[in-house]
Amino acid sequence: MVRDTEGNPLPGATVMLNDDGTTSDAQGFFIFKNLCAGSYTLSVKFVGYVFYETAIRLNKNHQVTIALREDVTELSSIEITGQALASGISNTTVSLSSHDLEHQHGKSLGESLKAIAGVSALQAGPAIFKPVIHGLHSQRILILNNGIRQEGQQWGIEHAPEIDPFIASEITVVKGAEAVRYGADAVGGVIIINPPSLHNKTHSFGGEINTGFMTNSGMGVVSGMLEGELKKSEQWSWRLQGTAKRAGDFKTRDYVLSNTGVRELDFSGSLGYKDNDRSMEIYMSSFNSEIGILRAAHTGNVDDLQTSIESGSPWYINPFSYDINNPKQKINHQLLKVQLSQKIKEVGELKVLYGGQYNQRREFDIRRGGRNEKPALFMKLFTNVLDVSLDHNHPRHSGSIGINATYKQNINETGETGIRPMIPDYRLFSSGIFFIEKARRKNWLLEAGGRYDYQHLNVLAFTRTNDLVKPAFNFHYVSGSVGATYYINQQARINTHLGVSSRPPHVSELYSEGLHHGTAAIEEGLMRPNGDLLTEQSKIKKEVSTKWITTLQLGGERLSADFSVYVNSINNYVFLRPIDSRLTIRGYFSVWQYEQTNALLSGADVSLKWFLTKKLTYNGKFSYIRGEDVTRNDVLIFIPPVTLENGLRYTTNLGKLNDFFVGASVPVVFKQTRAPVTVSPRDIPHYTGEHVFDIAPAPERYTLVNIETGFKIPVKENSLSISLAGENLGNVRYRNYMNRLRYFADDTGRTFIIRLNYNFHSHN
Amino acid sequence: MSTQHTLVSRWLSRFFLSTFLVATLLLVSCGDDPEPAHEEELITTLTVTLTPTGGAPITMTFKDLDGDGGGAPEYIYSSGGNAAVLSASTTYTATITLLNESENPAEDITEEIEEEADEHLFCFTPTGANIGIAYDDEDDNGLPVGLTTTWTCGDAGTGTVKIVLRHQPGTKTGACPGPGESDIEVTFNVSIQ
Repeated sequence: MVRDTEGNPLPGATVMLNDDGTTSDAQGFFIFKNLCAGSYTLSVKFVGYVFYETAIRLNKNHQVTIALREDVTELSSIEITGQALASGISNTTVSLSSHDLEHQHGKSLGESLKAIAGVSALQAGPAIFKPVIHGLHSQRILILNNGIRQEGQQWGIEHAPEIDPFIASEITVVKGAEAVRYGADAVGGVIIINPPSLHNKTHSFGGEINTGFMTNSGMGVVSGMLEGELKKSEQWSWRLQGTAKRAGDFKTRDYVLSNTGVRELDFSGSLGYKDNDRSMEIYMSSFNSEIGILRAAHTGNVDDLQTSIESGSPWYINPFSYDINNPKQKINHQLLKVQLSQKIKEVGELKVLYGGQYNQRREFDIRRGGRNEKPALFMKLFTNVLDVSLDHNHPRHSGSIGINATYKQNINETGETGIRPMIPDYRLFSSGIFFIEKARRKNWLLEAGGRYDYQHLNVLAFTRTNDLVKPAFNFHYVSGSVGATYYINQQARINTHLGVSSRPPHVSELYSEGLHHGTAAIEEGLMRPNGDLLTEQSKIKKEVSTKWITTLQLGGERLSADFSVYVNSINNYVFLRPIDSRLTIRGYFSVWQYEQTNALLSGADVSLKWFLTKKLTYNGKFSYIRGEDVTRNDVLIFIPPVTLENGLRYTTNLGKLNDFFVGASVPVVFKQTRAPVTVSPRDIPHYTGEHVFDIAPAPERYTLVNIETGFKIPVKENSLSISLAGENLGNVRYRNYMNRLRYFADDTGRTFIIRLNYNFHSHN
Repeated sequence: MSTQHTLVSRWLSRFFLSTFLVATLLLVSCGDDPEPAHEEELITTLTVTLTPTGGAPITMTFKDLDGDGGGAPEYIYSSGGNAAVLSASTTYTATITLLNESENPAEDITEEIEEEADEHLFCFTPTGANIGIAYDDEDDNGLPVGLTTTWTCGDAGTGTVKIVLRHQPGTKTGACPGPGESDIEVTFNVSIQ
């Protein structure tokens, strides 16, 4: 039977046993008959409650009682693969379930997210993926890492999220603006990384082991997790998790991408307590990685760059190696979370969340005079976040009010680097207050929310003559949103959401000064033209984004689908514009300055799952996005090209092999026809145009073929899944517009990946 | 089983104790002012000294004292004007010196290049003017470096000489431009009279 945490039956919940589904009756009971003995995955889904999934072993008659926990995040979503429609937030969300994530194991977070239509990645080689939602990335996107906003050096175009995707049992992407709940970082969308719930288990001790091996790059990855209850009390649960990963140089069809290896070692642990009225969770995670940057992507002035681009293949190719040499990045990210919640009678639930983070980023360059061991960039970012919210949940309306406070400090270790830092030291304090209220009326779910934020930013910058100046900024900004969902019938709903959010420019947009190796570009902040330090702040305007998104979601037995269209108008959009070229002793470089303009992003995403027969499923995905600089009548750079993916999957049980499947998918990535004009590096010193330019034309369209097969073997009470995937099976030679290494090298060639997953439980 | 659990809980308590310690550390923030960056790798000045056999040396200098950005770099020719004046049908010994003049006293970067001679190569490209340039030095592997060269001027004429310092750790072959990146790229005007 299905009940809530207080023991009341929950009628109408969708219960799935592998691929068979039923709903619970008025007393919360459900039944599956005539089953074979073996291992199954049992999942339960119910509006307003947290999705529940467990592995069970069935012999004879088996009874199970499932206690569903109320969905406190209010962000329950429609799974693209799901059959039933959940409701909750009036915004467009798409999730990757634990099942979807299994097929991504071994990939970085940003690469895994590409499985969602409308989400792409800005790459800096085969191992650095920055998520892009509807054309926006970096400081315009928020990542919630187990409830805590991830605070790393997001501004950098080669800086990927410092998160081990193995911690997640579900990743949800909110495609609309969610600035009301989460603040200015969420104007472009939110990526929510959810670990499995600490409670809600049917076992007192269990765990999981995942391993993977990839032929291209010789990547090996092992991730393990143990969880259980403390013997003294079932109310206390714990989990320990860790991942180790090592990859060598990736390969294209024709050559080795020298110095693109990865090393990663991550740990996390949590301890939680939960009873009827209160809960407590302590979570700590540690992410540590070392990533090589393609050696040939490190160039000098515009002449070097021209030579690298013209040569057609990297100028530095060595035999395959696991060694990681300069240029490289070393990143450590430590996170601590403490969450307390207490139910208050007739009021709701009070939640207090503290998050402490320490991000350390070191980047190593090719240097002179035996300085290769010294980082060229060394930044420490300390962040403390405190969130307090009060949620209420009535049958006809629900909502939340809350306050948020953040204190951040960025420190450059210039004594260690001997190089002027890209962005200065700063201290930032911000606080916000918000409310969100939802009401249910017949077939409608309506939502409205508002938020006010204050930010005090204290920058510690040096003039060119090394005098310290301490400009201070005070920003006040508001955000608001309205949304509505209309349930057409049991299997279809349409929702529309309008979010207006404002964001003060980030320190990197205000005070950047530095050279980007790889594009021969000097970048200068809004307050730092020509390396000078402006004092007049009136020029700086808040970026105001107005995003409207409408989604039709279908969840029928034969077809489940999402169709979204959106328009995002951004006033005072901060972007980089080429303004000049500069002669230095190292030759000519292009100079790019941050400026503000009005931008318009619009597009559509489609994802389809069509159950052709009981065993054969068609999957389709499509995304289109158009970016425009309205004021300057120009295109925007690095807007993802049109992508279309078609796939077929056949699933069956083969004797003792459960869930045997074989599938193929064919992604097509079109040429970006709205790419900036091309100016060859050597012509940069003579370029007088007003347009944003790129140093190489957009790559041609390419089509890849991927295949995957797998099955589950029962092992005693548990089950072992094995899968084999082949990507870029045709070993196609291609370049990807969104990959910054496309100037120097092809993208990765054929690879085979074998993945093993073993789950084990005991009920002592 | 119970001993295992005791071990686990003991381990857990230590684990969480340490998390609180980390949290305390995170809350402590230092309010000290940062020190300015000490630009170690900056090269502000390149000077080529051209000495004819038995004659007075001529210098040409590229100088950018404030590094990238700020004031524009300047060219200084000892013979005055905006070109180095060389004599036709004359042979010069050319030596290159590199300085970081943002330091006081100025730091000699030439030594750094000498120490890492096997990673560095100066490339010379005369255009227009009739000058032949030959290497006069070599690194431990017998490959040219270019800190010392011989310039043989032919007939009168004007043109430019581009001097590029290639940084080629582990990849130097002695050929120009070869692999690697340019640490210096400067073009001087020359006038052969």
